[in-house]
Amino acid sequence: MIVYNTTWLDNLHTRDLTNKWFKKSFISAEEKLAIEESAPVGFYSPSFWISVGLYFFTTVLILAAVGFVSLIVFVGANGEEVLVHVIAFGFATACLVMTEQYKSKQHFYNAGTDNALLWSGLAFLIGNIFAMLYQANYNEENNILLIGFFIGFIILSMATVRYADVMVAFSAFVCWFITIFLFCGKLGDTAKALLPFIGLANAAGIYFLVKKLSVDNIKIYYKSCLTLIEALSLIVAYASVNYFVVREMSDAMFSLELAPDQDIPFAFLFYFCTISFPAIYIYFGLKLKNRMMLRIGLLLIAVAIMTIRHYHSVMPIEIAMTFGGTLFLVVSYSLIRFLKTPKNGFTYENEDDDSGIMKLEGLVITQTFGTSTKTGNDTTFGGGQFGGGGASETF
Amino acid sequence: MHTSENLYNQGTISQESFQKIKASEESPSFSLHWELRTILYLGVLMFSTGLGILVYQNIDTIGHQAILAVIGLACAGCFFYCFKVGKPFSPEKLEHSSPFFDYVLLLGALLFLTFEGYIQFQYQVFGTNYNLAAILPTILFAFLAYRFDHAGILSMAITGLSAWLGISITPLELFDAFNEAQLRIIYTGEFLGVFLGITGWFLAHKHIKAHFFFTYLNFSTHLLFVATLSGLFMAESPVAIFWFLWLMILVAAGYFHAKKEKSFYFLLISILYGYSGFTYSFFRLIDHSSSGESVLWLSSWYFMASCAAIIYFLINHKRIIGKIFE
Repeated sequence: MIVYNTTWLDNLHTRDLTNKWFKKSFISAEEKLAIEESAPVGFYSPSFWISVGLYFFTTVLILAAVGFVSLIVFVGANGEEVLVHVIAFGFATACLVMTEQYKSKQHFYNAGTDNALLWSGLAFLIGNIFAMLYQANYNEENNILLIGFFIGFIILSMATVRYADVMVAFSAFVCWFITIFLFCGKLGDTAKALLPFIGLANAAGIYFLVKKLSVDNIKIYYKSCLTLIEALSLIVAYASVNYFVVREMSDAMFSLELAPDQDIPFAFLFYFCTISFPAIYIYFGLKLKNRMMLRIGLLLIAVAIMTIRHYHSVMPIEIAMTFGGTLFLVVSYSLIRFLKTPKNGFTYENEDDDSGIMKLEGLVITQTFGTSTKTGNDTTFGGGQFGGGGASETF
Repeated sequence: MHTSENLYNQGTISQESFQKIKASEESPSFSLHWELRTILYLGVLMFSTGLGILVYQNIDTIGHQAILAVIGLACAGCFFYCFKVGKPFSPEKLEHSSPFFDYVLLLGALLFLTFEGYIQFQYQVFGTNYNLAAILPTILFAFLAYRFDHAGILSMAITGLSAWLGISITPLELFDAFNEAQLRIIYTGEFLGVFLGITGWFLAHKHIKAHFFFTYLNFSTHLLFVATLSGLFMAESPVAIFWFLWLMILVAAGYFHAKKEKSFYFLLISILYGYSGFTYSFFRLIDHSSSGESVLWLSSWYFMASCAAIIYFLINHKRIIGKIFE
């Protein structure tokens, strides 16, 4: 099913573990070397920045090729619409065939070029299916999106199984939920009213399915995809029952035009979910030592606070910020103190290599605080933009 | 599944190592380092913003002197703490014993900026002598950055230095700074870029806080490339050739540095800036001689060929450059 050499994927996993062990000094440098010798990996996957470059230039190359072929076809021909579809399918086929070639024969593994080819190929294919659906029956527009997103979901899922690409998995997930959403919209008012619970049930179902799938080889081969889908389903589960989302959605779908003092049915339930879900995530995140669940729970606290503040102004923003800031300071300070000596397996000790993050932190500090003292009374700042050279001019 | 067990059975790792791994797998430790650090950072940000707004709203009842006194005292308190608790200066990387040290230092630096801006705004202490107002925090921050080993404060010092010279170089404003710029600003940018690069290199060479080299070089590289591209875009035709040549020299320098330090970040930004300049020059050259449809043909050929060449280079760069120098 998967395009990559599975022995190498196993070995890649072994090497990741080895690096972790070595950092924690469980194993010696000789042992690390010995493991690496016994676990060869033949993929071409250059460092992050090189992949970014390869991705960028491959994308520009594909766009230039589209321009070139369009020039050949349309100069002279009187703009026949069939030709557009032919070109799009041609490029989709070419890109996907090349993806297959690069990944199976040249062993590219997230090298940038293969990602760019895969994503453009799928974009050409699915975009063109949408275009053809629209052309086929533009009288019944309503079903086009539903069919389009469902086909998109199927194609993207198949591509995910074959290439284990994170972006493709992400798109497949999004397509699935848009399909569900549109489908419920078709079914009528009962289905629309139940949408929050259908969304929640779907997200929970996907979450536990992913958990069930995360065994043995699948867990290793599709690691990043599974992690992403897990995170997304946690977020969608929360979004399905978040008060703000439910209220605005039902407002839009049933054209309720709620006045500020009116409320949606079961408002209490949704308020309860808005507040309790982050707490549940944090609790289970800590209990199961699931870092992602913990982090999402922490983020969702902010979302919950914003949701409540959107409808009920408990206190003015500056006082809320001062209080909240104080609370954050006190909580983090006391926890850092508390965890100086590890407790129940929790620690403040930094376990990751953070040199990159420290550099990033410097940039964030300069950007958020900056220096407010400028001499600049003899120069004019601001306005206009810097187009990144000639690259953007001709497209 | 049980990788460590397999490795142990194969005899690749010793029994002692296997026991350590097994122990950690059975009761894994869970680090809350980054979560707590982020909450702390957010707390500082929210608290200072909220308090700032409160003070701003109540300025009439509190009075300027009282606020200034509080800010000044807090700032002095931060610096006092740093000098008392901080480890003595060392040219190597310093690890401070308290996890809050960096934040206290940062808070002190930010309070100093607020204090200075406040007295200048309210009492015009520096009058119209903006130069002095800009260089003062720069000197202080440079000193603090080296004294207590804080790359973030060093970035603030460098930003201050460029502000003193009239260029705003916080990451998101860098591109705007050179827009509609006069030649003076471009030359200043070139000068500052070279200066920062050489300073960083010299200090790293002397092993004085060698880990600051990245900060220097990052500012230097972006400044030099943006200034040079601005020069190229502005220059009249014959002069533009020199800007183009200077750009290519910078790209080459960036490439060899990247190769030496194995820093692919610098490799990529050199190539991206270089490609922008090269593409601009190419279209400026053909602009005069051809028109209409032929430009379309030429540009699609150009982008296909140039991108293919760069992709080939990125994949095979070790082999290609190796050959030239053999």
